[in-house]
Amino acid sequence: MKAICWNGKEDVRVEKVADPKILNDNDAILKVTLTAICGSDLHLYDGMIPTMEAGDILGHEFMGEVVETGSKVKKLSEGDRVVVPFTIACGNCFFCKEKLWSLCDNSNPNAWLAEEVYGYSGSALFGYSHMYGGFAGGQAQYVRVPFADVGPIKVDSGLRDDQVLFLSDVFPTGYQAAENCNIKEGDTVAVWGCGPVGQFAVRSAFLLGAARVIAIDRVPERMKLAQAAGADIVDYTDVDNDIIETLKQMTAGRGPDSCIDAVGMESHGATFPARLDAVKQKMMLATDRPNVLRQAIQVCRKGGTLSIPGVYGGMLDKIPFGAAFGKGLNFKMGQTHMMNYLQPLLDRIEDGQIDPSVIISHRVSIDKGPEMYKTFRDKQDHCTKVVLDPWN
Amino acid sequence: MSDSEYDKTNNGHGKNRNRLHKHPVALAAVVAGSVAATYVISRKKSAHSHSGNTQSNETQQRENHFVRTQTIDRPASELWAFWREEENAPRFMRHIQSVRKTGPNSSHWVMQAAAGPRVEWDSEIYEERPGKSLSWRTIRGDWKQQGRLLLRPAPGNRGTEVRLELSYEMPGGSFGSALTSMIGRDPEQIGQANLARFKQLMEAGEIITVAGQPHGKRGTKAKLMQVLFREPPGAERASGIQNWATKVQKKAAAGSVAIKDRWQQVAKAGADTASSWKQVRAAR
Repeated sequence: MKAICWNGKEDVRVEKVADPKILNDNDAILKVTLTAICGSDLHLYDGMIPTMEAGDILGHEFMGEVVETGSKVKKLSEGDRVVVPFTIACGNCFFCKEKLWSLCDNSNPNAWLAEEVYGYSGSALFGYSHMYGGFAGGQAQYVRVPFADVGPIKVDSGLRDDQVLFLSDVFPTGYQAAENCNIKEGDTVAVWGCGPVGQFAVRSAFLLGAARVIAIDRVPERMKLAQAAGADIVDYTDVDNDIIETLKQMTAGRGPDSCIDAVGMESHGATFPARLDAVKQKMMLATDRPNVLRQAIQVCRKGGTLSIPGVYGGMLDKIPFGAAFGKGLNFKMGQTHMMNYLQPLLDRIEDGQIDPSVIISHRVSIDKGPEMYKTFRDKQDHCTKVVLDPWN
Repeated sequence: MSDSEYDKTNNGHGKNRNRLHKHPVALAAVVAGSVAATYVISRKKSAHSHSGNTQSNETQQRENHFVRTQTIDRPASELWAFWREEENAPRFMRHIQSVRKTGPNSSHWVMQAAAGPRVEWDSEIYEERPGKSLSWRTIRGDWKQQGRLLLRPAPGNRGTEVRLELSYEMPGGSFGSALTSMIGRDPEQIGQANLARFKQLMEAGEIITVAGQPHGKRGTKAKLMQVLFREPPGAERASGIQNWATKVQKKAAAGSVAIKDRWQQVAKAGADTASSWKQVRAAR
């Protein structure tokens, strides 16, 4: 089959690889009908995530048709159309029972690798380094799905693939980010980053009752998308990078009630600390560039909440923790507990409350995948989201 | 066994050593072996083993005793019964190819890693308290080991705390070094992995694997690992990732010191310039 394989920094290729097989009794094999490149795949593309190996199959946003099931799979059968969440969970450990699915104890065969770095391992992820399990991803014609009774959600309605595909990651991730803000009627929510997760965070914040959402970015088409969803937009390059003062004035001195960092470890910016981060990261003096995090801590209102769906990987430098303490901020972060959101969000899509496909800018064949990584990373060609057809 | 026994052994490595030495087979082995120091010593990295070992002790003595713990969300009785059934071992212990019962308390074990020698030994369970503890030791064969499994309920009904203790010796010669290459690269890691696999099997009903997945063309390093250890890429890279983390931490620390120094220089230069301007103005 065809699959997009990582071969090193800024080097991904479409390769011909073997078809996946059932390896555990709870596995299913899907014929992938639609897949996407996620913003977090760009961290892999940029070589920011350790424990990748040449030849690893990428992709954690995918859906398809069940073509084979292992002997213990009960809920799925051949021909079922499913969307697969990007986190892999066993469904039976303490964390799964507590509905903290992305912290599953039993899905990462390389858990001890993550334990070396983080103390404990979260759940495994599809196509996201050996530290996260080393599972082959779904930017391919077929994919193996472990614990098939726990993750995948069946979609029987007449919705198109591109309307439900983003249940695999970015929609629930943006939604959880907004839910983590604990939004109350009348709240103002600031969202850094108008990529796909930011877009869904903006829309979800409104769905959850925010009175006002302020979206921060610099890419015109992304800001336009956020604006179309009802957000006030701020181009940080327009305000001379003084986001803190700008947001303070926009909220008449109160500050946003909640701040969502939908950017993560590779933030940009022209402030002095941001430039210093970039240099340090290049020199391997630091792993992450936490510019957005610093701004959010600084500008968030007293007693407010910082919700962090953006991915961080390692050591962060110069975090104004005194400000966070002094203002009694709340922090919520981490990978999305996907299985909590699949059905409720599918319901919202079926109800017509939201159409996730609006963020798609590029629909291409898997053969064009490698060049699309570059286009998406460099934000060229008005790229907001890329979906790939593995068969055409 | 009482809970206090579970706790007591937490810092009782000296006692563990004594226990092994009390055992006649192990004792004979100790006497027969030329380097007694290579026998049982706690792993120096483990949090509770700093109870007075001098540096020289740690470097002289081989790390061939370890204690690992794991919380498993199943009742102790169920876990105990599964572990007690020796023939279940190949289902979750790495490299254990087969176990055959030879009596109510004895069994014959065969260990074989893809790139290692075939290792066989007979083991006996010499003490058992259902749902609480299980102790075993080698009675004859290639690999002398003595182990104990201790179980107690986790606080708040959150399953069972499982504690695995293992002491073992390495035979000398090429056989010994081949065995070391198989189990000794990091035995504690294998112990940890076995406990994690036990937990997966008990909680999730299966041990999830990535061996046998499709992949693209592998790089040289991954190919080498596969030829040497026949293991999937990433599976044996603890040192790699650990090195990466420490390297970054060290560099980050060094970097922030360097940056701080640089800033102090800049600030000082600024202050110097300001004061010299003041002098110039005053002179005028």
